[in-house]
Amino acid sequence: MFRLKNILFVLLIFLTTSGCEDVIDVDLPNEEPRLVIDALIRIPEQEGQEETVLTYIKLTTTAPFYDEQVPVVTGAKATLKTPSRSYTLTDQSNGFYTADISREEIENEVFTLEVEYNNEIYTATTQYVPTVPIEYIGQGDSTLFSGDEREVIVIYTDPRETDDYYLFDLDYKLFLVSEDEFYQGQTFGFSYFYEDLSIGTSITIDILGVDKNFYDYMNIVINQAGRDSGGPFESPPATLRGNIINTTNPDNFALGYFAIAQEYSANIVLE
Amino acid sequence: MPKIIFSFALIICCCFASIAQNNHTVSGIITDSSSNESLIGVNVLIPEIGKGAVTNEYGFYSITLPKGEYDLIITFLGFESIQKHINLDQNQKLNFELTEATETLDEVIIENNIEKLSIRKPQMSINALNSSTIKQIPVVLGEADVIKSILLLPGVTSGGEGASGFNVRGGSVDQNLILLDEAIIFNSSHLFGFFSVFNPDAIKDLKLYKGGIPASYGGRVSSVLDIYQKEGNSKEFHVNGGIGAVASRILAEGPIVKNKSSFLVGGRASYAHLFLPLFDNENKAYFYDLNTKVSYKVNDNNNLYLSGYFGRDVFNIENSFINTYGNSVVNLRWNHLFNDKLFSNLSLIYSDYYYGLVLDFVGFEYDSGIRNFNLKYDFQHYLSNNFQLNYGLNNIYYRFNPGYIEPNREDSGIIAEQLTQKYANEFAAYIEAEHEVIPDLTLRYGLRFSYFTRLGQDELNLYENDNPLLFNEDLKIYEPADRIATIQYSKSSVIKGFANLEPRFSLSYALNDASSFKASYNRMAQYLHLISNTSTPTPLDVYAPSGKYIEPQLLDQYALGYFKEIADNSYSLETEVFYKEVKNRLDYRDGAQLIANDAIEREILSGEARSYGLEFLLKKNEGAFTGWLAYTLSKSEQRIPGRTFIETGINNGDWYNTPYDKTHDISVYANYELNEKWNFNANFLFQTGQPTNYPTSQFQFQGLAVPNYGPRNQERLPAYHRVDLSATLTPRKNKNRDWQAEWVFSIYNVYNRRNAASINFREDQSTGVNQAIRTSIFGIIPSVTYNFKF
Repeated sequence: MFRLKNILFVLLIFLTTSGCEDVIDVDLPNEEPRLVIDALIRIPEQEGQEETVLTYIKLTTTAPFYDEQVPVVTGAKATLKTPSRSYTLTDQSNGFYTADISREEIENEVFTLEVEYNNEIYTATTQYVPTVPIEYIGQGDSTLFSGDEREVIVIYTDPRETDDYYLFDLDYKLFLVSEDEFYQGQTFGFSYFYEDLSIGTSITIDILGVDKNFYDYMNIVINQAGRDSGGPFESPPATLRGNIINTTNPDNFALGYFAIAQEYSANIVLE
Repeated sequence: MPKIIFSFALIICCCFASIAQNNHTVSGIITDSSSNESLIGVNVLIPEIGKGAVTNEYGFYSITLPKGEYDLIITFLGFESIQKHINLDQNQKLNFELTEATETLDEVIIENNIEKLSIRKPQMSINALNSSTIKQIPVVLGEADVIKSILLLPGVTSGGEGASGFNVRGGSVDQNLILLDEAIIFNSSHLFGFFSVFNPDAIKDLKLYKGGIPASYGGRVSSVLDIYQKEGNSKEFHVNGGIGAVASRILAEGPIVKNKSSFLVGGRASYAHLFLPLFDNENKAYFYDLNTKVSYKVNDNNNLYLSGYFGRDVFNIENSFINTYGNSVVNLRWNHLFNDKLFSNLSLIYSDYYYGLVLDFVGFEYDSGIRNFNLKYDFQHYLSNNFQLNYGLNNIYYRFNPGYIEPNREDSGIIAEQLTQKYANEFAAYIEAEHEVIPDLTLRYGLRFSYFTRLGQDELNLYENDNPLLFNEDLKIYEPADRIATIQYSKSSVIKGFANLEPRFSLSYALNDASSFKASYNRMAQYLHLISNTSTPTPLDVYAPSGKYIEPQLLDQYALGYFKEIADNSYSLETEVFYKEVKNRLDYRDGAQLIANDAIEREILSGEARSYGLEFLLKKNEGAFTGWLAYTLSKSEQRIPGRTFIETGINNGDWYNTPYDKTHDISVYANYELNEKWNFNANFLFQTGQPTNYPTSQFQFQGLAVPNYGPRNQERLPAYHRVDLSATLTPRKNKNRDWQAEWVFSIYNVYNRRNAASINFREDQSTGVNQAIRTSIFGIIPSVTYNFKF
């Protein structure tokens, strides 16, 4: 089921639109920049795919909330390690660090990410999480709230016996998480209502396999970043610790997450 | 436990034995002559010896005096006084009927004297309002509202714009015991806090206890809001009602058998199109509620009351999202007079709080609720005119349904599942004496014994080392532990029991006839925890009973006060200081998942809370101009330390502000009676902004700009303030005719202050720029209500 709170944002919008919203100036506290490691490595499944995958991570730092951009980190040293091999990632000088790794290795090995930045070493460990393909993507004609949303229906089948967690990248910086607690082993569909998208818009929806911890992390990231943060159904926002540890100086922790996810995609053009 | 009951019995027997034989008792019921409605808080005075009594919640009084002749004076503001000479040579039953004084006296006097403070009574930290005061306080959308009225009292603050819940002396919303005709109400709001669930026409009397709470109440640690509804007019049939901009209401009452039995039926409903103009599709949001009551006077010594409440809120958005919730209560009470000194009330109460949700777009239906059966037997024993005993028993059986989930249509992938239901029982016995030691010193001392048992359930989660929440040393965060097994208990077995002795003590020392000093101490236990993710009560709040992983909250509160009547009680002044501590106060871990969670123990940490403050209330009680000024200066904070020296707790184990910490709270209420036709009201509220979190930085993850936050509750929302005005027009032609009407014109938030309900931080979707966005709910709202009765 989708976490109820993710769905209940509808109610919140209902409340808040009956009131009103405006942009105000608020003086905010500031803190020293921290390293941010965006290391969600997606392993796409597609026809005619290669034996190796171009994997990449992105390094940035935190910035004051009102800044338009966050600084990218160049000159760091990033390594992906398995018990038997080590890949040094190539610094693309734009914050991205890349390496080609074979699919077979990715699917079967435990990976450790090591980043050396400002003479401190950050590490995290993870393992590939498989998922299931999107079986159907289609457009519905319901609306939800304002009357001009566009309904997209997504259907997939949850594997029996295992507890599965899903991350959906719905395009346009929209994400959802779901767990199979209430549809174990079922063919399950949900509708997503897009706002402000016109006919002819192309939407790509990705389904990614995630583990419980990353599911929890993304759940908070989505809430905290989203339009519904801080509302009556949210826990109050907090410092978001991922799974990355600064082994040199634990107090100077990094933000972000290291995860490797199988990914299926489906595309639809709005009619 | 049997031992304790035995010793209670012993104490009661001793008291019986001590009754002197040459005294006689005068007792009876005092009612309103127009309706036979019993009157609460009427003074029965014997001026020549400076003694007196006050009628209880059912209009009963009892005074025991040495044989002799006395003059009784019965006074109740708004009613004509009665004087009666009695020759007390035997026990006597004297019932009085008071006549409303509206046409002979100055009409200004609408407040009952229960709103005035009783200088010699040991009860402190209490505020009482009657329904006419509540109806005059202007509120949002022109509807009279109980909760909004008590927010104008010192020590009471609001949970936020548009929230019906209230916070007392820095406590949380769930720490308030809300009783409607002795039944516990779990959710006090309609339409997400736009209205409270209490129909103002049906209310007779309410009292809010903030401290010095009598032993007859228990189960919540912050306050008691005790509301009594009318019994219904057993003389004549009457209807009253109101037509408002948002909701309308009607209430009918009358005799079934004249002077013997009566009924009362009241209903309210808001219009389904309330929010429709905002969107041009099939969205509905409305509430309705129904109050019913039948009262039957069996004979002089027995009265029966059967009452019911049913309320529902419905939100329906295009049939794809349907949310229904509300309370239902059925309540049977039996008043019995064992003799002229011993009054008893037996209540049998069933109450149910329901919350349901249909989410068609994921094919999902969800039902949840709390059901409880409550048996109460309370005695008021007027042993002598210096000594009164109150004692009683109370047993509540709870069934918590955290959720039943099922597919709402055939093609839904959802599998039906019942989340594990939880069961509990709460027993309490109390005894309390109100004792006038010397003429100027009155004490009230009592003890409540409470025993909570968490009963067996189907699946109780087990964790390694009984620890449901692990601390990740590397990341310095709390993480839910894995369930290692579940265990099944039969529903009659006890998983865990908690026993608590709750002493209560208050004293009043009269410095002179017009001023007194009061002090109180009370300990209370609360066995249900509301695991709320925010400071305002949304209907989706999860109540968690104490048990294997959660300990009950324990409160110790101390209060001191000075009370003074000025200029023959045309003014009164109440000042109090309080200090309170709560043990086992819960807060959730960072990033907790609270909703539809079968293992809430994995999300919470236990700590302590404390609050202290100064309250000041100056009232003008008489004249054309009445009103009050209330000011509270207070601090409310909590601390969740780590369980071991390695753990960080919350906010590094330091004290931090609770969301209810409002440093300054000022409210002014003024009522001016210009003439018989026009009456004007105004109120002003100011509260320090609610503690909240602001982001300290942002970071980027998967293209999302994510605000990142520091420790909890370090910042505050902007201060909250507003002014409301209202005017009531009573046409002159009302006189001498059956149809009585009035118009209430009101303006809420006159200067259109945009009070922040919350401030959210997010990226603007089209420009990609990060912004701080203020949500405010009520701007200026003018409204008109037409009230009638016949």
